[in-house]
Amino acid sequence: MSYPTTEDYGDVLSMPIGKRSINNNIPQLDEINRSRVIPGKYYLHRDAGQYAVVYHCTKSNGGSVAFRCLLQAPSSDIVLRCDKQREYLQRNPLPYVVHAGYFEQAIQVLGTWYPAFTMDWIEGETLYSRVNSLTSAGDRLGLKSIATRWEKMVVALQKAQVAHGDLHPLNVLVRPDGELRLVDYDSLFVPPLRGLATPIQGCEGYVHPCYLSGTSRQFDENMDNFGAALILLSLRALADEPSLFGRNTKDNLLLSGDDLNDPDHSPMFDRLERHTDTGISGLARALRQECRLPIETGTLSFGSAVAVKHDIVPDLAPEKRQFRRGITGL
Amino acid sequence: MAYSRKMGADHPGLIVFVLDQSGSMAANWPGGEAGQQFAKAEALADILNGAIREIGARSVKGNDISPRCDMAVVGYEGSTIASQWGGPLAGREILSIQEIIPAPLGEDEATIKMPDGRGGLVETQKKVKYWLEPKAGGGTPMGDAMRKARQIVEQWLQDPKHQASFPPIIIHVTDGMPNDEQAAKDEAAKIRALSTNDGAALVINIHVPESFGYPIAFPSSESDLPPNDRPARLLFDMSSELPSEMLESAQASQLPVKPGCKLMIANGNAVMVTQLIQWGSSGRLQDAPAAPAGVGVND
Repeated sequence: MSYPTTEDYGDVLSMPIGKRSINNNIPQLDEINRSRVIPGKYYLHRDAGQYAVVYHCTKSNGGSVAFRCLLQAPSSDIVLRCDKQREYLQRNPLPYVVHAGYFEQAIQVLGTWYPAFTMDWIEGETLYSRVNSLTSAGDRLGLKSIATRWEKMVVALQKAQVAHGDLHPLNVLVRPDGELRLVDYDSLFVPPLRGLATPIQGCEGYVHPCYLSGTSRQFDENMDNFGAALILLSLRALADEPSLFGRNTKDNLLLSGDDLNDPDHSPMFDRLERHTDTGISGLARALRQECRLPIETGTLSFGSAVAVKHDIVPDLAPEKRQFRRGITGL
Repeated sequence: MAYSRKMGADHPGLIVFVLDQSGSMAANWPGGEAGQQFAKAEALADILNGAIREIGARSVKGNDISPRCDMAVVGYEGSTIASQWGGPLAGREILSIQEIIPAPLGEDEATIKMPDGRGGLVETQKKVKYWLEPKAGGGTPMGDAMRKARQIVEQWLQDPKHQASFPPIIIHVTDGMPNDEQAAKDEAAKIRALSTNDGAALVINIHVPESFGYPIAFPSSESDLPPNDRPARLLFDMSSELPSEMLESAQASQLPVKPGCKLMIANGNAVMVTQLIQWGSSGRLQDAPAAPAGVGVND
């Protein structure tokens, strides 16, 4: 049986409270069954919404919970991944990753049981949406603030050896207080999961182009480095010039897949490399160079991107140090 | 690697539905139980309206619909080959999903009945938008219809932005033999020869039977087809092969495909047809997940 559509899930959830074909043997799911849900209000996750649809549920006690239904089959080892993620994050908590539970027989649609997740509900909007609002309003301070919080989050994740695996402005939520939260943990790496395959090749415009043309992605704590640096560059550049938003790409923040695929013919990369702020030009140069290479070398670590801005010289292995000189020799 | 682009606002995809609206489509879909009969044309309109709603649902980005996909719907019967958009969209041919979703032909009130989780049934009303109405008329000018589809694809490919897009997808539904079999084959071949940088256009054919027949899904060779089944043979010739890059994605969507099989269903029942149309249109085609764990573990 192929997986349900958003309309199928919406139909189940539009049934009266307590009368939905949701597994009420499990307390968290019974709570969903007894929640108020608006079937037409949802988030989409991953690959432009092809993987999961997330509904906002208002519990009978007034609190909120997210119900994440799948639009296609998860990895065969999803239970293992969720268990190891939960254990690791209990020992190494990060505010950026919220509690999530996976249930194999969660919701029945047209006679078949399908799995689903429950998650803490995160109030806020996607990073994409927030940047859209801030750039429309010309709010440079707001954008700078997000850039700072972005750096802080990525450094914390790196320190904990955690990587999201599908870092993308639609997978990051910005709370009303400005705090960032990650969503969609199917590709989340924690050290106990080392050795497993990467569940996703990544989104065009946020990973090195080599992964979209066949190169296998290594599943480890470095998965986010490229995307994190790219988003940081975008946020810094937009904070300086909000009107750039939407000019070069309608899908992404600033750089498009085309810019990454063909960096030498990218007017946006040209413009960013000529920027007077070395925090922008240096980062642009490093990213552009990485895109020229046939595979991601991993020398573009976020550590060096942050260092460009703060004039810190990290302790790097000799081969990396050579590359590092390339960034500062502006 | 081909067939790897995502459908996005920077490089939208194209889906062309080609619909047989000949007189026989007014007959009931064979094989249904008594009391659950429905006309083929009605069922098809339902399935396509559902596919349009789903593409819209998956194109939501914040409060807007992202223009990630363009769509055309060509109907054919008698001597008429016509775009099926109506109401506010009448007279248009290729439309962006961003234009389609806010402009339905109308809204129906539907009743949904489901299990209530305690062994009983519960029902509720919902409003469903629709864009296409069922039609059934004269003969079957399939070749002319496929020519029209080819022209639509050629026109769309002229926009340089589309050269980097996922290749066009043509989904053709018919219930019988055409008046112009050779033309149908030729035009389908011409469509399959059109391409973007990401690969050749995909022609998917779905045959709805006139009388009850054994359903054949994704045949790998002619020997998989029922003997003397001319419509099945014709569609087999017209259909694209499943590209190897999309095998995993089709399997992840639980379709019973094999490597190199043809993208077609013969004597399809409503469930199979719905599944293939949903898979072909709601963008799952370009989502190729990495190998499941245990296979290809990183060295």
